Amino acid sequence: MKEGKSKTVIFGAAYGILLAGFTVYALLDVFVLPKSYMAAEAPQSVSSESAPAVEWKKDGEEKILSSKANEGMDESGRWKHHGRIDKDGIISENSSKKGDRKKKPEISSRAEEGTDTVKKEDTEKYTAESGSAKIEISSYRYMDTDIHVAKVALNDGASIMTAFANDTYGKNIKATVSEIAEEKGAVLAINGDFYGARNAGYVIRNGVLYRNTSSGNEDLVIYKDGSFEIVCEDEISAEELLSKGAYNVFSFGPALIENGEIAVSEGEEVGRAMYSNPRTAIAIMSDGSYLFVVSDGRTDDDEGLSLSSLSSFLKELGAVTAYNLDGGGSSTMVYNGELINDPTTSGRNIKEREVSDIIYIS
Amino acid sequence: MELKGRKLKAVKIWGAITIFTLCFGAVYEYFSFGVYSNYMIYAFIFLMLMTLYNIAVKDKNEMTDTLFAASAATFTLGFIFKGVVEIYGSSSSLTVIYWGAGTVLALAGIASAVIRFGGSSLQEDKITD
Repeated sequence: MKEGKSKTVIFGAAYGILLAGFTVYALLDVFVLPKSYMAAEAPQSVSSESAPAVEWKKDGEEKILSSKANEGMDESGRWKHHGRIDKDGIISENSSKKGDRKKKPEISSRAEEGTDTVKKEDTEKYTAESGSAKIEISSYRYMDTDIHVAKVALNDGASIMTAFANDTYGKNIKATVSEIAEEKGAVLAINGDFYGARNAGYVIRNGVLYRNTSSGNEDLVIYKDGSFEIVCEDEISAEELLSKGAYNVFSFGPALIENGEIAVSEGEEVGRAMYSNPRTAIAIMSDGSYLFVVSDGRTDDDEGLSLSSLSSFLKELGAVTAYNLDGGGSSTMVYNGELINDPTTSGRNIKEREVSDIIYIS
Repeated sequence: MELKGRKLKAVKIWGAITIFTLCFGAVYEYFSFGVYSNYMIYAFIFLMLMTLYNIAVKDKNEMTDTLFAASAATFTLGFIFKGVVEIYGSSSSLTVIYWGAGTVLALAGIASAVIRFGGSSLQEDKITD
């Protein structure tokens, strides 16, 4: 009898150690261990029409812009700000620190009542121009939340670009938006769909198919000509999208606006998220310009937006097609190396989260 | 039903682990900014079943108890793991290991109980004869 008991004790102890060890491995596999993967298809050559207008060449540690892209840049290779325009329309020197920004004006009374009023903050504005794009960043106060909107008008031949952390497609390969943006020489960057956190969902970036496993998600397709389309992964394969000319495909969602109409229902949320959060979205306007949108949240100052509120906001701005990207602590906008929003996971400190990918303008 | 000795001790231990897991899930959900996972919320269920098993079953067997305990621990850890992964917004194919191992252990526990019950019945039959 005693021998039988000791055997069960040994089994219990050994199994407990095995179970604990496996759980540690499983957690490391999901959150820590980096794995790089090959593209699902051999990289296709990118036509000159969709190639980025800005070319980089390295000179030792320094990056020097080619003459084509030098327009609008200062001597250090950064884009020149046209200045911040205050509420009286006076252009002032831009502050390089986020904390130096002017205090935001009060929320309009209609917004306090929860109506769909969008109040633009004209004290928070940056503009920049170069050979490839014109970028205008504005901040808005809406539903007790700061929303940062970059309006991007691309010139002929320029494209919305995407980049992976460490230039590598894989799992748990992460870097902050600022780091990836700096590496790519991006003037404007927002976080992407954090493809690395999931095992399924199409990944097509800069014309290369990396993952063709369907997650059943609603995807945003950005074609080589810059147009947007919302597709369902259950209805079309990644290979078909690529052959149709998909240049970038994001698998997160949902679509916020389709054909100028709000596409999410009241209370609809991403997966198991239940309430207002920081958000990231990308939209196209009827004139062909794009909106890169990041809203704050999870802090005392910023309540955060529901998908429905974000959709209403984007509709008021005139978006024709808009798509929700990875939000929460991932939501980050970087302009010329400077953080534009207040990224936070806990609300206790403002800190960038490491992500798998970014969308950028170079 | 009066609980005494080892049985009472087992009920106390399983009850305490159940309450701890319930609280852990609640606290984790509280700090998850509204992102919820049913796996995290209901991770205590298997431990609660073990508590009820210890209360309800009179004549217990060491092997059966160990197998059921291992099964409950496996499912509970699997639920917590899947809950953490879901709340993060990710997924993992490794969860299937938990479900497989937990099910095998539970079936082995049932088989152990049946064999023992069958053996006891045979012994009783022999005594009656």
